[in-house]
Amino acid sequence: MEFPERLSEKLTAVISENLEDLSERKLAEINYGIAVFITNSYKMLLIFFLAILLNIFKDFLIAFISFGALRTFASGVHAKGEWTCLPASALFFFGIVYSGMVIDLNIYVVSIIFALCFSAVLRYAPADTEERPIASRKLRKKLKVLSCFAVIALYLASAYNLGTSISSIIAFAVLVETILILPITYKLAGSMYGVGISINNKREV
Amino acid sequence: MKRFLKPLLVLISTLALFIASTSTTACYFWSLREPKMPESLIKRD
Repeated sequence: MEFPERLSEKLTAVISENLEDLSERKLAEINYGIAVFITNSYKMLLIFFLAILLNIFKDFLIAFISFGALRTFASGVHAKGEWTCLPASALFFFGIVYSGMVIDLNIYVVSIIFALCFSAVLRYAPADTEERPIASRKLRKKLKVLSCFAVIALYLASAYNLGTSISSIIAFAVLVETILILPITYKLAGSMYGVGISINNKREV
Repeated sequence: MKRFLKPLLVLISTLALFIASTSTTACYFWSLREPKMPESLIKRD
């Protein structure tokens, strides 16, 4: 068990001792919520701090928001361990920022990138995981539509800022997030793609 | 100490439940790792 889960279990035990009227189910949900908060917050703080130190905070924020806007709905592959996640996150975010700062993309390249990403999102989003399966068909459909809207909105933002590093950073952020929803990426990362779909299929059989 | 502990734990629990319930419909895990979701939170049709 990773340390955010260990810490959340300890905190949940304290909550359970002091607030007696909570069911096992509610406690499991509280435990999960705390683990989610710890897992995300300390890594984000570290990466934000690193971006400030490297003097690329503004560009980093653009990459972070663009990546997150799509990832919120499209999801994608996640690291298995706590200590592979932090370097991978830092590598992705700073890779996006520096690529965007160095490579200037014209409207044709930006359009091709977004067209490819849109097709992939249309086909593979939302890409869930074994840890957080999306079993509901209605929810999958809703997330797919929202992912497509996110790609369109980010394309418009990228096209509007053409000729600046902002445009390239948005395009690279969408490209990286799209790569993370592909089944081949799941295979390479040793994760299972489409867990939610298989849960739904099993229920129907 | 006990006077403050209970309201604080209620606040933490409420925030944790809010994060847990909203993470069933949107992916918060931009940082590339996610803890295992409890069965009760998995949405089904």
